[in-house]
Amino acid sequence: MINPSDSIRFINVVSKKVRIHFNEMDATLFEFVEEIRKQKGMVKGPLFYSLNNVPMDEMMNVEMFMPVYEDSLSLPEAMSFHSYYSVENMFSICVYHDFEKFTEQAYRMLFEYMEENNLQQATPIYHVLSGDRSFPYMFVKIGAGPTIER
Amino acid sequence: MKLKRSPLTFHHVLSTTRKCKTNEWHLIAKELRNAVILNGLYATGPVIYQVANFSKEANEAEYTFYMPVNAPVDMPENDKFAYQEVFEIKDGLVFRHADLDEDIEVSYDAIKLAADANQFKLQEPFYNIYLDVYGGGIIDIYAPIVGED
Repeated sequence: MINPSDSIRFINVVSKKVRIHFNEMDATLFEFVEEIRKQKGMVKGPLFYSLNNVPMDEMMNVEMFMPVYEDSLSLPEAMSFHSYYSVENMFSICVYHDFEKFTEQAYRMLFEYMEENNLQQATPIYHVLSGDRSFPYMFVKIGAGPTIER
Repeated sequence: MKLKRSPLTFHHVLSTTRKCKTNEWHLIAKELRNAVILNGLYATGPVIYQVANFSKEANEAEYTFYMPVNAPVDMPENDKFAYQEVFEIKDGLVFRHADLDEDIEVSYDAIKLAADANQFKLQEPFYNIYLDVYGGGIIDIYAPIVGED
């Protein structure tokens, strides 16, 4: 089921942009969390990331985000701190098993939904990792722009 | 009632300042939002605004709206929009104004009282951080601390 009115809203978010091979995704997310811990950040979650390109050559531009408990952190150059991070006007779908297969299906459903509803994609695809070890699930979210009277 | 002391940090922030009637500020906010969308950007944070030089006679004030966006903006200098790579205030007080039906001045006064009690010098106008919740809104008021006695 597609949720037609969703958003991403967190306070105290650490972010980092990377360009990686898609095989490195899991390791990169793990490293990102470790790096925050090294800066004495207490991770709160959920971990989420945006896919900022269409990976033709298997290389992906990814921005990773992690809400933390601290109001500020001293971070290395490559990382940024946002007191508030939010993306509005999103629609989303939940993937909860066979991630590889169903993530692609989720993308298809979201793009079909956009087409059917005359929406224009305004943001990259975000993956929000939720649940716990016994039941991990993931929200796939896209922001769509409102129609503008020109 | 919750009062916190913390820095305030945003990245890639577009802003615009304009004087207008107190019932027309939404037009400025809308224009900023539209400029963001028309340039292929999207907002990655709440709308933040300041109100300065309120004139009761003219029913006018000077409004500044800030909007964090997803990427750096390469923009020639112009008199309409300004851009900051990093928007950072090192020290300040945050107070949540949860009921928008109540006068925001009441919350402003609460912050000022707390600042007086702690001998903090605040800088006005304060920043209002508008947060969407369940179809309505709340405002986190951010009052920069510029000195301690």
